[in-house]
Amino acid sequence: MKRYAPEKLDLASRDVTSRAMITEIQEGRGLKDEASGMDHLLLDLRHLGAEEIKERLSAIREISIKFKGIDPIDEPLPVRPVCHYTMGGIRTDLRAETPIKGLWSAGEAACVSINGSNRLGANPTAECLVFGAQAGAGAAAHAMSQPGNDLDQQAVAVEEKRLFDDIFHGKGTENPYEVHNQVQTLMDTFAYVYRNGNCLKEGLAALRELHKKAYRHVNDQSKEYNTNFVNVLELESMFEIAEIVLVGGLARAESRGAHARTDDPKRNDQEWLKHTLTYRTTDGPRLEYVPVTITSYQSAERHY
Amino acid sequence: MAQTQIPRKIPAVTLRVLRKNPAEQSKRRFDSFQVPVEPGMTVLSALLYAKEQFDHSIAIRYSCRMACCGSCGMKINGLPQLACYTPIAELGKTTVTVEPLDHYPLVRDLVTDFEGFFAKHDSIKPYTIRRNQTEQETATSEFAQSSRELEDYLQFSYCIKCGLCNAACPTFAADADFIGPQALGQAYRYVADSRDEGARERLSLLDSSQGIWRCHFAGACSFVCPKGVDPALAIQRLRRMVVSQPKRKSAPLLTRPNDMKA
Repeated sequence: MKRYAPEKLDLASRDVTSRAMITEIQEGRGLKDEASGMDHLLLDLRHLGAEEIKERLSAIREISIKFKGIDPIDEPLPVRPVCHYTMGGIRTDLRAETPIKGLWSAGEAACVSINGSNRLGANPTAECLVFGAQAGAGAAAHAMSQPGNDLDQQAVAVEEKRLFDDIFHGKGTENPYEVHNQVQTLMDTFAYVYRNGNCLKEGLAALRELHKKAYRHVNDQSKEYNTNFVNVLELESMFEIAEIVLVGGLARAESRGAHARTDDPKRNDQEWLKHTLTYRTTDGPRLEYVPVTITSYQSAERHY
Repeated sequence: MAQTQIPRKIPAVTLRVLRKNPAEQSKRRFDSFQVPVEPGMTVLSALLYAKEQFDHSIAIRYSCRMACCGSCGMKINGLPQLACYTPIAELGKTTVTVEPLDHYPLVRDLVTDFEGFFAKHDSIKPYTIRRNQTEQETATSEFAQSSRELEDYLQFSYCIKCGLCNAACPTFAADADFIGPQALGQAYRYVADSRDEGARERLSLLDSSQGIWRCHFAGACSFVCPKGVDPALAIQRLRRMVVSQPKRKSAPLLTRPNDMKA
């Protein structure tokens, strides 16, 4: 890590570490896993010594031994960057309330913007404990003060039709689990650690093509604990989120945090110090932007 | 802690999955699937392979895939284990049989109902209790704890509420009213925490015929725990604490002997 973060070394932030790893792999200093064919690097923890690994990294050691048969005390671990967390989400305020009346959101589904363009370690603790509590208290207070509901019954009927007529009783020839894997591979190919305008455009076209596949059907027709139905609904949502990531990343012609574009490698505060908001339309996501609220701490580029 | 040797490779397994949907009054049956085994593949991965490739209707509950969420407990070759934390190679068999956990109502296939489990967990008050309520809710300083004091309860705090211990417990098999090793282990986790002041109310709750005195000390709970928690030890320590209490009245005898099943 000396080449990438001379002072912080291995303690550099996730985006910096991911880019360092991918650069090493792309420049031919990676390894290939025999069984899976996956490119990876080796993480050597041996200099920490058995004592410290056992005390400080017991969970990491346990998992390495269990899943890979490798004890990090004796051998380096195969590692590669993967999707770990989604910085974006349903927009909420500090009370975990969304702009939609009666809807609260917390955790990884939400975006209170405590992360900005890069997730910081331990921030999700605040998301669970602080904003989870806010959401629960807020939603409960709201529910107690609103005995009935004023849902738009027509909208409910439309959603019911989508869920049950179009999906639960839908017809199709494609295996939704295979389409699910294809979405993952597609996003890994076109919107990975490094992106550029061309690959994001290509990815968007490929995603829209994939979305036409006939996977909207549920083989499991039971009403009890039907994860098949849930999985197909999740796949629908994955398409929507993937499209937002591609469209939002394509528009944002700069590099910031986890969004690293090889065709626009510089951070551009003049034009892009702003949050992307997306709205669902029949033609795909519509983008809007809102300014970043800066309080005590000035926003600055990360240097090591 | 697991062994460090790399488990031997096996090319494929026959996965036998128990299928039953009580709501549809379907018959209990085993479905078999041939699953190719990749190095490091877990029983959960094999089940998901079967679900994705062969039969979308297998009901299975899982989330984290790394023994943190406690959702995928099931009987694997007869022993309660986490599917996500059991590498196929570790089983050393070419047939892997998966069934729902014993002692829990069946929802469907491999999914069991944990409502009763969590009610028992909640009954031991699984949170820090302080005498000074105002200070607890609006603390003016930290509740400091030394690393020595942390060790008193640390292993018991690794419980992920997967419920394998209750499924393995032979006493639980005979008496569904037994509070069970999971709740008792968690009671000890709080009683042994230097920041907690709720020992008296917890112990008086557990000093009963369906509490700590019901355990026959089989130790199956500690044997199956995937996180290295030792509920059997916790129960012994709770007993010591209870009998060491000054002015303790002896525990009531079983008031309803007819409740005892088997």
